Amino acid sequence: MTSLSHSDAGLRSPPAAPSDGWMVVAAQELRDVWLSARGPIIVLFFSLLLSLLTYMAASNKELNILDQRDTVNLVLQITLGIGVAVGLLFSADAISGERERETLESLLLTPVPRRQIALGKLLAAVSVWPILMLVAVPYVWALRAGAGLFTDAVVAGFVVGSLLTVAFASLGLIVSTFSSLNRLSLAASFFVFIALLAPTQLPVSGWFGDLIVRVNPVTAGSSFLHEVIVKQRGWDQESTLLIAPILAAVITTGLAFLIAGRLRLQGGIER
Amino acid sequence: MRRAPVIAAALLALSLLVGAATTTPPAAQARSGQASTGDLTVSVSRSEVSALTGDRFTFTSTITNNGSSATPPLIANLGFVALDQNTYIDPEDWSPQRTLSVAPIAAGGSATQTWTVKPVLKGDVAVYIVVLPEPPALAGAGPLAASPAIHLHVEEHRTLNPGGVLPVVLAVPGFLALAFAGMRVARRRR
Repeated sequence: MTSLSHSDAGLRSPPAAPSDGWMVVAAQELRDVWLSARGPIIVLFFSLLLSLLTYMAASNKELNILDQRDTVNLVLQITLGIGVAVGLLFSADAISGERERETLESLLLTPVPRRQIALGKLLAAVSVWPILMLVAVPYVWALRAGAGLFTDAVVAGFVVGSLLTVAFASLGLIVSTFSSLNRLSLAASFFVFIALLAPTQLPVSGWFGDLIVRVNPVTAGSSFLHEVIVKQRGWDQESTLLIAPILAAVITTGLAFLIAGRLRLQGGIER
Repeated sequence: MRRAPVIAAALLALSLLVGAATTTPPAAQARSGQASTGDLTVSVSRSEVSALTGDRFTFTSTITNNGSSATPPLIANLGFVALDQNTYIDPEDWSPQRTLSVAPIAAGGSATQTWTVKPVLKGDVAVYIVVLPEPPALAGAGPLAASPAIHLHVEEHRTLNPGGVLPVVLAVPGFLALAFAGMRVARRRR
């Protein structure tokens, strides 16, 4: 929730330059995420989950048969899934949450352009991702099979995760901009995420399966990680798998800012 | 002297019988000029292997054609047999590639294949290679050629030492919990 004080928004003193407005919003949103219990608790539970998974991989007889590359890939896929989901849920709450808590009006009255409000909220929503990735690094280090695997895994995981987090956080912001109800915004955004995540768990094959893998940004990103980490293939060999995540990030972010210019107090689609 | 025609007739009948018994069947006639699997010997580069679960080891097999003519195209297959009651073997888990195609081997020639095995469960296992001709030469090929078994003894080993990961498993959540608690305390004091 963003509740700008007059000094923050620059109403008493000379108005803040419009180009700085996003920083004020982002700073306030970041404080809300990280100085409240939300962000820290998510990160703490995430580290506990990775600890459990890592210990099981190390001690469980069945999982132990997994190649170390498979285990590292599993840790990064889980990090990616949770990072994207958290970014999506934070951004899905960004506007519709303010609307439902009746704080959007005061935010819209501040001299901050609406697109900058959206940018500040988007930055706060995606801020969880690099922290989760940072937490995952020691686990990847503990499970690594060699220095080469560690570097490949961390860099590939960070690139794919950043693209997908930006794409889905922007999607959540779009839905949130239109939604009057926070529940609806959260449910719709999460449904889209689950629908795109599901094919990663399905045995897709043939030309149609290959098409789905390459067109769906989640399956494409997941396949890229698998190819680079497990199959030790070079980035240049599998670079086409990054096309869908890059396009998804660019298109949804562009759309989110385009739509944010029409942000209204009431939800729904303007006619 | 009167017995001569009888003896000649008997010899003729005997030669016809022997000829009929040794006539090559049509399928075999089609393969005439090719060595059968009975002319093949298969050897392996190792006789005993001790390994830990999760380890990988390789060995080679050599197929030698002892016949007087070239073999048809062959298939070499890697097989596993558990030597104790407690070991369950799913061959797919034990080797990524268990079947290889072998080009025809000239008379007196040989071909070598390399195999990789990754034992996943502890126990005693026999590893062997069996060679058979590719269809259509498979029909009526006779007994298949097999290598001597490699006695594989597998001891359990944990690839990821729990002791090795334990510091990370405990330290990361502990550090985060302390850091976040410290942040809250510092914020309250302000």
